[in-house]
Amino acid sequence: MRKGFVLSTDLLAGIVISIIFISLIVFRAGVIDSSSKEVLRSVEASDALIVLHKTGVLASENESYIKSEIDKFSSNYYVSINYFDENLTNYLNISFGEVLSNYVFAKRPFYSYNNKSIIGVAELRLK
Amino acid sequence: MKAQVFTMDFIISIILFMSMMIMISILWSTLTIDLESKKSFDDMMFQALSTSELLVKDGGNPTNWTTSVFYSLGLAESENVLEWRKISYFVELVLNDYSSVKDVLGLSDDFYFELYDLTNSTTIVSAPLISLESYDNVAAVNRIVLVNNSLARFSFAIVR
Repeated sequence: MRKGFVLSTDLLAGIVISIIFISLIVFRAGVIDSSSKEVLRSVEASDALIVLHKTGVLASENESYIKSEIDKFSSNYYVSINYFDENLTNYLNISFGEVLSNYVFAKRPFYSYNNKSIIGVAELRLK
Repeated sequence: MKAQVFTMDFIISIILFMSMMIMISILWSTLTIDLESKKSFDDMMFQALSTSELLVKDGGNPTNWTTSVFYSLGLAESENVLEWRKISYFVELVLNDYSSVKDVLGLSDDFYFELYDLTNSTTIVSAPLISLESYDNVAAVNRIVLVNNSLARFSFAIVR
C-alpha cells in the first residue's frame, strides 16, 4: 500500500507539471497574438498626434475643438495636454476621455508661435 | 497483493500518460498551425506597415516623380501630409502598371489601398479594383494623414 501511495503522488505531480506546461504554451500563444495589434494602435496614435500638431489643433487650447477632431478617427481614447509659456511655466492642462487600462499611447512635444509662444506635451491613449 | 497494487498503478499511469501525450500532441499541432499562420500574417503585416510608412512619410525619388519617371514611390510632401498630385499619379500607376508598382515597393504579395475622408466620411480614392472579400488573408494598416488640409485615413492592405 505504501508503494502505491508514493506512485500516486508522483503521478499527481506529473499531471500538475503537464497542466502548467500546457498552460504556459497556451499563454505564450496569447501573448504573441496581442503584440501586433498593439503596434498598429501605437502607430495610429503617433500619426494622430503628428497630424493634430500640423493642423494647429493641439495648440488651439480649445478642448471641444480637439475632441471633435479626435472623434473623427477614434471613439475610445484619453487625451492629456500640458501647455507651457516661453518661461516654461505650466499655465494650462487639458485632459478628457475615459481609457484607463489596456491602452497604447503616444506622446509628442509640440510648439506654436502663431499668436503667442506655446510649448506643449500631448499624450494620446487609444484602446 | 503488492504486485497487484503495482499493476493497477502502472495501468492507471499508462492510461493517464497516454491521455496526456495525446492531449499535448493535439495541442502542439494546433498551436504549430496557429503559430505558422500567425507568422505568415505577421510577415504580411510587416510588409503593410513598412510600405505604408514609406508612402506617408516619404516624397519618393525624384521628389517630383511622375508616372513615367520614378525610382521610388512616396506620397508625402512632409511627414503624414500627402500631396494630391502624387496620390493621383499613384492611382494611375496602380491601375495601369500594377506589377511595376509592386516591384518598386518591394512587395511579394498583392496590395490594396484606400484613402478615406474622415470629415465627410467618404472614400476619396481606392485601387486596384479588387474585392477584399475574395481573399482569405488581409493584413491592413490604418494611418492618419492630412490631404488638402483635411483629416483622412490612409489604409494599406497586403492580401493573400
